[in-house]
Amino acid sequence: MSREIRVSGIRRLLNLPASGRRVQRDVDDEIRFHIESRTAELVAGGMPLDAARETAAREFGDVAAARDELSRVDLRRLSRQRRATWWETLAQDLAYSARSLRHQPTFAAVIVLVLALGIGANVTMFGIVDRLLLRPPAHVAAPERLMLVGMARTVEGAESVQRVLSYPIYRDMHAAAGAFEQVAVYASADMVFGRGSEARELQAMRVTASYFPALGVRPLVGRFFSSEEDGNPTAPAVVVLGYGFWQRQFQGNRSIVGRTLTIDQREYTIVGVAPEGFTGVSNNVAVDAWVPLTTAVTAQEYQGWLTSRQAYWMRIVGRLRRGVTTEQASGIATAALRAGAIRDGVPEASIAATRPTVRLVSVLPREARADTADAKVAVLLAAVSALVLLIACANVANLQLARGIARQREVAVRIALGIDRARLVRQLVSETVLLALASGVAAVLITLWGGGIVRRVIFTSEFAASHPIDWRLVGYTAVAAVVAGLLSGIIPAVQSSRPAVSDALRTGVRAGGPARSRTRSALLIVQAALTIVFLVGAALFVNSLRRIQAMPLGMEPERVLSVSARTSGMQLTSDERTRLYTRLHEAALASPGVENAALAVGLPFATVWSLEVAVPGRDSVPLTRSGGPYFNAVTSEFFATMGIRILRGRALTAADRANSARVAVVNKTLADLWWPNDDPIGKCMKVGGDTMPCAQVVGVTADARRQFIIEEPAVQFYVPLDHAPAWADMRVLFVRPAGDAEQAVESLRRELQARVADAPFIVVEPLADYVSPQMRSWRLGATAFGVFGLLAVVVAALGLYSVLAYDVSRRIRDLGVRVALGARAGDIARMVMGRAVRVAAWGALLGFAIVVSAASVVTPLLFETSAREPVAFAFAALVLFAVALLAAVVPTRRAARVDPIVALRAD
Amino acid sequence: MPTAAEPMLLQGTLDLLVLRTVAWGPRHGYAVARWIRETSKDVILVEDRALYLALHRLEEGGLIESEWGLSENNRRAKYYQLTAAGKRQLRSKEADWTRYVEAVFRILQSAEGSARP
Repeated sequence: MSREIRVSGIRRLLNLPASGRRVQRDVDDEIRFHIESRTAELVAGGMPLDAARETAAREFGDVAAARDELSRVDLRRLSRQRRATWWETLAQDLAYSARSLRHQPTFAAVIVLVLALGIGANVTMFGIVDRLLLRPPAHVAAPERLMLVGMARTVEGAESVQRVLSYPIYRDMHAAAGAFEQVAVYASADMVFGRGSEARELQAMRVTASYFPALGVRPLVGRFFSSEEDGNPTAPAVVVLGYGFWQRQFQGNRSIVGRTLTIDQREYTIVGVAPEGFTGVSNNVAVDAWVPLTTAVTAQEYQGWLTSRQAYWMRIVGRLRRGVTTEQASGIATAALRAGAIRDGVPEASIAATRPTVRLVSVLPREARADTADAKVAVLLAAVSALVLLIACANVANLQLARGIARQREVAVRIALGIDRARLVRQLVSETVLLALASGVAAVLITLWGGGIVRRVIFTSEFAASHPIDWRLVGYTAVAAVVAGLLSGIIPAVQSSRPAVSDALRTGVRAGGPARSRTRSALLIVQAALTIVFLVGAALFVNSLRRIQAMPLGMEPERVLSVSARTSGMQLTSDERTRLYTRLHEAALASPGVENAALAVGLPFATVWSLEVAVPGRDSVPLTRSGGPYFNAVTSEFFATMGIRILRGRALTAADRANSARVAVVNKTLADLWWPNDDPIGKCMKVGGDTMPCAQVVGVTADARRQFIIEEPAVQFYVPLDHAPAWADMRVLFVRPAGDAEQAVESLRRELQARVADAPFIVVEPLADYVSPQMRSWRLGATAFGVFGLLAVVVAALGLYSVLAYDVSRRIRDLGVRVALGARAGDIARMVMGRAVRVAAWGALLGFAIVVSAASVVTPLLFETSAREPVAFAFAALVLFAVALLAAVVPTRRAARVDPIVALRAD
Repeated sequence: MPTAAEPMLLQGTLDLLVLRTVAWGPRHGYAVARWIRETSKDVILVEDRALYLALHRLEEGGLIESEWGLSENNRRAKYYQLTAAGKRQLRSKEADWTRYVEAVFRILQSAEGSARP
């Protein structure tokens, strides 16, 4: 009979075959043992050896097959067991961690807070990057096969791609049937719905009937457009509502289909509602309504907009035909594009020179948007927020290290009890991961609360839209939390579990050894260095922003509002339109709280006009590289309203009317360039060309910006509005409110709408809104580095404080001995403070080194600011030292007050 | 070797025999085979391959567990023994089997009785 053997469960676990090969070998051994035993038994019974072997083998059956099936069963059992064990020990580890953390709630809270800030910053940025670059457009079927059409042309050796194209090019793409299953057009349009004072702005999208089928989206209610509804300007006007607009205006009423909506003074029949979240091929701009492309174009516009090859106003998407590659489709579409150009009368020489080519890129944001400024900025910010998380991790690692020292005995006891070191590391790491997961939950809350603020502050209004937490975000948070937990848990865990620690059991050492202390100092220094990077970055960007804001623009856009009336769809004659603006001008001047108001034909920073000018005695007039000469026709209040200074002579006056003498006011650049050695006042300008009568120069203004904050000065002049050429019938009204311009927007709009009863929807915008997008990248940098820098400073200060405080509390006995031996409170204080100062000093040095080596990357992002600006460095160093000293105050006081008797009696 | 008609070994029966055999204490596969052969007086003949498959499957199912040890002649051998779950399984299967056999036997008895009026 078999020998009795006690099989214990634990030993069974530990004796598990380690690998597949091991399993195979065990099975072989088992079979061999069986056959040899049987052979021996048969031989003992008197059978010859050969016959015995043969019998034993026959009795066993197919050895090879047995080998396979047994190994398979064993491997299956083994892997199941391993999984079970893994989860079992993980559960044990987590339970153990939770127990031990319960005893140190403050410690746990600090770690959760620090990590939550770091993770929260990252989750917020992920939400933005996800929307900008990662998430495919909602409700669009197979977006990777839906292509944005671009036209590349070579001009002066450089190729440029444009994606805003013309209707004839859409027809060409339609002809490229070998490339695309479907081709569609979309063009966003600011429209107005409702009438009179009830009128409101409508973010509309003009689309072809093929748009919805090409995108593969289905209506939530009703239907989309039929091909009869898109094709000519007399087709019945129909509209598909966006989900958000439908909810806001019609409370999600499904029986809305068939009712009408007034858009741009015309009745549109509602035929359907798009699904929730559908915004076309881009994720960012909410669309209130979709209207057929051709019905939304007025009869007047129809001719030029749909027939001119150069009228670029729409985007084209095409769905790739099955089995056609992007390259093949580009080839087919390019051929169609060139054939269309020739048919439309474009000279062949021009085609040969510019080589128009179709470039296709899928609507997936990572392809379509990769080059946009928003995307670059978002990626930069994501990188910056990753740095914040790194700081937080370094911080937590440090706290854990400090705690690890306190736990030396506990760890030593466990090692002595024979716990496997890998298991110990795992247990220690799992503790940090547990904390990190708790931080993840807190981070989601931070994102909910703070994310909206960050988006509003940093990005344009389109991103301020509600941005609910979804599963992608939660998933990312979980991953970020686990990674952060591992990152900050692994170093302390490995250090704490060093076998050398078992010395602690014998010696009772209280503070960490020199190696450990070095690791902690290094972590603190890294934090301080990263903080310096943020502080210097913030200072550099704030400097750039300040300099660009302080730059004289020659006018005061922040004091001025621009007013225009939405006349599209009203079928007004040129005269009726200019009269409408004249009435608006009078109404504005009569309104309370208005300091001044003026009419003009050009809107600085948006629309500028140029006009030929001849000067007697000159063949041609000199210009700067900005081109020109640029003119604006304005009423007499213009200069006072805009805040443009008159340097010499006079401004225009109310006396400069239609039948008065022709006059002009020129800017300083024009005066200096055209009459460098002469007084410009009284000189003659033939505005409009040689055949025109003289206009006398009556004044010189300071240079005012034409289009960009940063631009080469341009030759500009102003003539009375009544003297404007007949074609210059466009108007814009500028209003200078007495108080804050921004706050006057809505009241001025209501006032004007009431005073000019029959006016269409009136739009009032701060002129600064035209300027500020040009400052955006600097504002963005300043805000991002400022916000994240503040976060970094807080986290680093918390880290330094907690490490110092922990040190002091662990070294109470040591300090007590020193005091007993005659050290004075000042010496002790200097010791603690000294550590904080040393960390700050090394951190500053390292941080400066990082900034200086990254200077070439940063400099192009700055404005008239060197990446090595000493002021920025000084500021950063000052803040860092101040924070370090502040963090050291409390621990220092505690250390200085150590009572040797109490300290030595403890323990 | 006796050439008695191959007895049909119902699925599950072999498992029951194996559980019964290892219930007395750890034993290796060869011992199990020999025990079944000798105790059944060579009536039940099991192909050894099927026996080992049953052993490994029972181990996978957690009814028995194994450990490597030394055999009577000091060779490495794999020993099997019942787990707690295996003991429960054995008790319940034994009871099922006994009830089943008794029922079959009763039917056979009564058939004999009615054929002889």
